[in-house]
Amino acid sequence: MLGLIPLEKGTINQFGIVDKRQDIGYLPQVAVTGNTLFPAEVHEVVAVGLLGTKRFPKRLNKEDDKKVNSILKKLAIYHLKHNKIGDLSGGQQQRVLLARAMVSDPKLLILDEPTSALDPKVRSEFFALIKSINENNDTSIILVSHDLGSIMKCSKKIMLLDRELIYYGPTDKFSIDDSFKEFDHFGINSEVHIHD
Amino acid sequence: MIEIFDLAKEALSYSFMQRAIIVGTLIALSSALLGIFLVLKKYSMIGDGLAHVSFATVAIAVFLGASPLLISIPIVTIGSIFIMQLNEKAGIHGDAAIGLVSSFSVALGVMIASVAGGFNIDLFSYLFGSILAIKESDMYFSFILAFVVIALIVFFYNDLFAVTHDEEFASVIGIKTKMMNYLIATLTSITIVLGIRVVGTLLISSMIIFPTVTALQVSRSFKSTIIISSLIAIFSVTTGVVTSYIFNFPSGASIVMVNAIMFLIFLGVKKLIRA
Repeated sequence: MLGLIPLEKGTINQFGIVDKRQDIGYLPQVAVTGNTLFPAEVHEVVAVGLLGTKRFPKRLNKEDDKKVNSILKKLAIYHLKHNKIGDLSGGQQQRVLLARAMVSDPKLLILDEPTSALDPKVRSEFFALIKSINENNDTSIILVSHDLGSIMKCSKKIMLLDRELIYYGPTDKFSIDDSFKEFDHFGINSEVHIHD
Repeated sequence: MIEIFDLAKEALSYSFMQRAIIVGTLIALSSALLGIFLVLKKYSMIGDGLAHVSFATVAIAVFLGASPLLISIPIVTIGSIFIMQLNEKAGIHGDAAIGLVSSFSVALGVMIASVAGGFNIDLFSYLFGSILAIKESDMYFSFILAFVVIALIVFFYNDLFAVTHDEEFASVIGIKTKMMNYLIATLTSITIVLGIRVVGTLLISSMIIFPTVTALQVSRSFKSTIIISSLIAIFSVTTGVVTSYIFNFPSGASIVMVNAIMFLIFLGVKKLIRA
């Protein structure tokens, strides 16, 4: 769906909510970078999220700076704007990368294992944040995770994959089977469907 | 002390010194600008590898009696693309790919040199550079190429930053990551070929690595790293060339020495700030 891997067969139909790549915000799995030496301030990293909509030469203007400021405020990390990304804690870095994914105001957010590197307290804060984004911004969210427990609490639909499709449907009709150790999950208020 | 200033003034009055400083500054600036992307992408040693490729191409040029710049730029560019292909397609790690291409090129260069009747002065001058011997035609050529390199980096600054910081994310938002990587490789090749005139094939990687690593000691943002490293690069070349005149040191080695001293100073400054 992100265009990282070429399609083997079939087409991806995103039901009208996504017609441009810019409409997708993406939070990668290895979000919490171990690279503390990389010289970049928070606002520089977040502004990258705006480049997708720009044509050559990609220049950032005052308008873009405002967008960066407003997303930083929304995610409560505005005070970190001029901090070096490598100096932040795991949870803070995660918010910065979420800000990068959201700064272009996408209609769909794809989060790949967003909480796997976070401790439980930060993790539940993060899920609360995602939930409020989903409800207040009218943004659909697909969340890929192994953490079944946390996800059951806040998702609307689940898709369970263990090499093959095991379950796809509303979360409240899904019951945990211990044999499923690994699963992927179709998240909160998802309107996205994949067709083979 | 006054004597040194007089000597420095005298040095700057010679046209060969002026040429050396102009060309040196431009090349230092291009190498420093590229350096930040290469160092952060962990491709620091590509400068060294490509310098060895250019050793082979200079040997070919000297053998054929052709212009080293004209022969070297296309072949070294192919070498850099080959290194990236080995990395991407053949799944060989970047450092190993550089090692393969680099040692192969030196072997090739030595063979050609031996066929051509051993190392002559020309070839030797490329090992350690001879910035003071830069001809006027070389100067114009370097001037144009360095200008192109710097302009392209400025134009693609945001794309290059995105690709360097997080290549996967850059590709998701539609930045042509492959093209950016090839752009860096090509610009690096051009800069290396121009740079071997200044500090020689054995020392050129220092022009790429030192300014960036020095700037990283004190910088926080990407932009400040680029600005600081550019200033360090220009300072090192100018000081190095003038020092080499005053004390009759080899110019390439002097530039690298100034760079090394700057690094130690910045390292100390960082320790002081942290303490």
